Amino acid sequence: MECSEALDLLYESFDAQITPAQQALLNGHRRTCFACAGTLAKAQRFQDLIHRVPQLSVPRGLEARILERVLHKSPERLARQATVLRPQFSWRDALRPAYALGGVMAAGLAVFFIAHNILSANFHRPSDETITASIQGALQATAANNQSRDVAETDTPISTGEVLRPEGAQAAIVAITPHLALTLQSGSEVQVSRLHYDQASGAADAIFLKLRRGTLRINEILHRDVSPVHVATAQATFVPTGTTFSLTASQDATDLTVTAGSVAVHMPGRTFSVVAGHGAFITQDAVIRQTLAGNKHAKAHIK
Amino acid sequence: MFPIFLGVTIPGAVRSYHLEPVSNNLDVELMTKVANGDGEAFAELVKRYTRMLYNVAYRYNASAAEDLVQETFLRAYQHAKTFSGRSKVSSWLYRVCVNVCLTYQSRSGNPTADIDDVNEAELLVRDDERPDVMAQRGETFRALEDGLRALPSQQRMVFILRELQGLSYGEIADVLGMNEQAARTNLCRAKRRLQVWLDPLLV
Repeated sequence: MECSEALDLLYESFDAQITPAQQALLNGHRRTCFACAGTLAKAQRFQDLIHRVPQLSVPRGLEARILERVLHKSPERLARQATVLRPQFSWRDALRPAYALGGVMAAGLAVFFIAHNILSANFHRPSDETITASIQGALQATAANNQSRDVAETDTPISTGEVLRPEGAQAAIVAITPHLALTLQSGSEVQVSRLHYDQASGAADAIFLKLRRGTLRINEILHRDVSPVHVATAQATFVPTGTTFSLTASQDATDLTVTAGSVAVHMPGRTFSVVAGHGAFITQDAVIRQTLAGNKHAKAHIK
Repeated sequence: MFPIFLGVTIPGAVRSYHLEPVSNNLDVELMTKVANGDGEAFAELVKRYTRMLYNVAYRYNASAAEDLVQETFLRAYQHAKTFSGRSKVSSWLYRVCVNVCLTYQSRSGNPTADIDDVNEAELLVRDDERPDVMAQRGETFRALEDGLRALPSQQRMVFILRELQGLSYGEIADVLGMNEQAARTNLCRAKRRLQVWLDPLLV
């Protein structure tokens, strides 16, 4: 029996897919072939590892977003509608005038609150497209309609489409949660391309950023299975997993440095991971990977 | 209630997976209602199967997992009338999800590299990492996921469905439209490649 056949038989034995005769052949090979003993032992460890792979939990709010997308209805609205569709009797008809009156009063209250909130300068209500961040340092935020505002040392809402630029020569820190902080170095420019804020849990579900230029450092403490942060540059998209890393981007190249955890790099034609203590210099044509403790082991991997 | 054991239990061969609801009659009833446009039934279907499909989509493409699951349910809703009841609802949803994933892969113009192409570069990075340190940081599973995403699509999907979702070869053959032997062959190839990929961590 060839060693490669033995390995296939071993894999199939994990599934109880081999006959007693095949099992006997495999056992005989394991006893006599020292060449593949290590490989077969590793196959067993590999199988043990597979069995320990955890099942992922669903990101917060995903079910609601599915219903929203497919039915164009929120779960609450769906539940209300389900109630309405059930057979109703005289109570409903009897109370209809009261419903109408209640509706008018609710509308009046809504108008009052909206007007009040517009007039209140400091009011901010988080929405699906807005996240409240704590700013350390000073930055300029430019909205999609080109309206700019200066923000310094305060809590402020940040919305989808806004472009953030640190002001002056100092870096600005944008702390989105106690677990997630972005440091924008002087001269950098980051566009917030997508935000989603789960109002029920108070957590950020999705934070998609585009690093247009300069250096962005991200510090994320893993607090769930799936990172909400995705950072895109002209060359690749970076998805951290409980980590600290920095990116320096220009139009031609992105320089990635990972100091904790790991970062998955998705680029046309390949996906790879860079772990702590390593970095990668990425251009359209090549990926140069290096260790942070000097470049002795640096090696180019040309696409 | 005492458990009833049927046949011989082979250690390591029987695993429990908790992602797939077992009450298939209820599922079929739900699908019938969904086919008639019942939003409440659809919401129940989403509640029952989001986690199962999210696990498949995430292992297939982490960065697009949420979109893939949303697209799967959208198609399931639009094509619920085509569910004939001959297969389990879970198998039907798996099939929709697999089609969504494969279509996304081909349309995005972002096919993952063959694992052999990047193996050298990856091992270069991992050479300096002590396996026990990586394991302490919980990165063993991440390394597995990285390797998984670098597999050819068919191998990756067979591995996900068999090893991570616990489907039988018959179900995999049904979901992927291949015969059972092809599913076995794909699984063996996937495992060989992944084992090479993870070699530094299997010491």
